[in-house]
Amino acid sequence: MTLKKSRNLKLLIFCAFLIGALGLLYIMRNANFSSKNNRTEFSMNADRLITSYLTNEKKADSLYTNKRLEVSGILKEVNFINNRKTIILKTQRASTTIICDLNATALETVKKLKREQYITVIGTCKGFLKDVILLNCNIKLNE
Amino acid sequence: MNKLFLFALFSAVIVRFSTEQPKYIARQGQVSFFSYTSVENIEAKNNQVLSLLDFEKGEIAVSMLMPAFVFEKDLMHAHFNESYIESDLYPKANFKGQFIDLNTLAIEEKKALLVKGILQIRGISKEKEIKVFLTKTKEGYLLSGEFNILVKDFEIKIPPILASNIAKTVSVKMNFQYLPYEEKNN
Repeated sequence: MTLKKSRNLKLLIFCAFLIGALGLLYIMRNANFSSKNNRTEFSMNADRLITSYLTNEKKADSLYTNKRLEVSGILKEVNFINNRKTIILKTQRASTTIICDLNATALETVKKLKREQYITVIGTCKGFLKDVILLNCNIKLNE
Repeated sequence: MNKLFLFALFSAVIVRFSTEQPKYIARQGQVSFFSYTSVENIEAKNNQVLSLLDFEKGEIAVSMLMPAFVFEKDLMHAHFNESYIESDLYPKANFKGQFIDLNTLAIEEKKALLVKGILQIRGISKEKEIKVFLTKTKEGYLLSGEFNILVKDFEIKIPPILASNIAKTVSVKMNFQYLPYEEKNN
């Protein structure tokens, strides 16, 4: 009976340890994902990014394509085209904007946004068509 | 009475002609491609494709960023951009075409149309005829279409070890939601 109790206790301790280890692994993995997604190589406002592309697209591409950029600007709209939550940042040129395709972690924050709000997004730059395209974007609300 | 009716009908057509917006833009068009083989299926989507419709000239133009295709696996994305498409060298793919027998006045419900044009991928241009469906919406137009491309047409080199993973013919789908385009403001 005592032997059985001892075995059960050991099993319980092992299970608790296993659950704890898995939990820790999950937290560390999420923290790593989050910090990796928030690490940026360039920080600028929307106008400066657009001006870089309009001045010299090739040079801007070599600097920014596939890099994580932190871009600040005024929110023009939030849309759900192609079943993707996307935010559009205004620039001084009405014809060009910053299109930011949001990642899953930003979906809650986007609900708090209002039009004309000054916000910062962190996303991977993919280049320029008529607008600069940022994918896998997070939102940083400015105080 | 008949004359009055004809006059009203004629006026309505004239008004319709004069108010018809000649140009439309889609900034978040979707282009996806599918490669089906017995080894694996590969699918990628690009949700930020730019397209312009010019009804005056009967033209359509499409431009997309190759690195903006999203894959299920990171490795697929890396192979596509680094080895196959070489998106550092050729970051964009373009299509410019002409509608055959386009009459915007007749487009109310979904209408099948043919577009003939040039598709450019990796700097290589190929003639392409694409069947598309155009529908008038409250704000603009919807366009959808599907076509196939041959991998060898664009000199995409696939290593022999991966040849069985990638289809020789890739199926491409597109969907665009167009809004009126005014060059001054857009």
